[in-house]
Amino acid sequence: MNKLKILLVISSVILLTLAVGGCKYIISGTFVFVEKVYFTAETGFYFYQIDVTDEEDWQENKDKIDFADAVGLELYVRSLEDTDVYFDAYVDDYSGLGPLPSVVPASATQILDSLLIPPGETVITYKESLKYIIGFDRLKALALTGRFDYYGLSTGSPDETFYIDSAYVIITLSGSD
Amino acid sequence: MKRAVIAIGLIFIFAAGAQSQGIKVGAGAFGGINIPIVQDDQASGTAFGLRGRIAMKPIFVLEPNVILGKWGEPGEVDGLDLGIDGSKITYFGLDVTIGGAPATPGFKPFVFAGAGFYSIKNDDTGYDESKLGFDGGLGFLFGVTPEIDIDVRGTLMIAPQKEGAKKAALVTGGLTYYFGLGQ
Repeated sequence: MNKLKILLVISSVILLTLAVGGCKYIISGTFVFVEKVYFTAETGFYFYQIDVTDEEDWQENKDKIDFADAVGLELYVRSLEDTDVYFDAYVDDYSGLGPLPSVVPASATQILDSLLIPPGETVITYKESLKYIIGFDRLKALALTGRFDYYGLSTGSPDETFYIDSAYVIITLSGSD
Repeated sequence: MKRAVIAIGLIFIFAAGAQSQGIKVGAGAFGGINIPIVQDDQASGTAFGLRGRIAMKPIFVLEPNVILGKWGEPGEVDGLDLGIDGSKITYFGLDVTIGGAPATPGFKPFVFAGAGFYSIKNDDTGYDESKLGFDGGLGFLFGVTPEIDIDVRGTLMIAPQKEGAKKAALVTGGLTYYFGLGQ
């Protein structure tokens, strides 16, 4: 009889825990969002603001997002330079409208450190980008807000000698209803 | 992996102790498919494991078990091939089974529920979460002889994460051998 009681207690604990957290656990999933982005790459300093908070999908789902599993990129780059070019990239809180910055603020977090682009065409796949990207925690936190500032720095000649033919941001989010 | 090996060792130590108390004890291996539920970044994969069966009463059976699983590569999402491997799953826990009495030939349906420790890891994305989770399901045993059961079951696994959970359905088949029945 004692063994039976132990089994009933174990079963009750499992059922009780599922009843308390079960709905959240059951109505949840992991979703991958692929967003094509358009930007140029120039020698020196550049600044972009990424903001998807006005988009219908974001408005519908923002309250269901729990956390970001992963953030990555896929880039198709064409460089007309004779030598290697190096990119650094940073992200920071969305600063809103205001004067265009000319330097990377101290509050920004670096996400690419001397990413090498050789002369010619280069493809950086999503899988490869996951190895290059640093500062994941800040990047994931900013992705959850739906908007952030992006700063880039690159080497190379002052002429327009390299191009981003296409670029995708891939965000994996876990959410629940 | 080290935790899984320790858990397997504990299963056999516990099984040996229970058998000496006159409790029917068995052990077996299983394998099958592992289907992620509502997970865009995963595809169907495989699951293999070891399971002990300890019959406290003919109708109630405790099942300590270890599962090593892997989901498949997710393939294309919105036309883009993510090119990453699926996540690896390690689980060790304890199920309580009603039905499926050991050491009797024939068809023996059962239901089960349990809890255990899930670890989900992806080497490409760096995702790595470990937490207490739950599982449950149903299946049947077919006793080929009193010592050997064929085990077929479907399992719903719920592995809680920071928020929400990763879920999967496992469909597995295996063999279980009961010790000491001929003595």
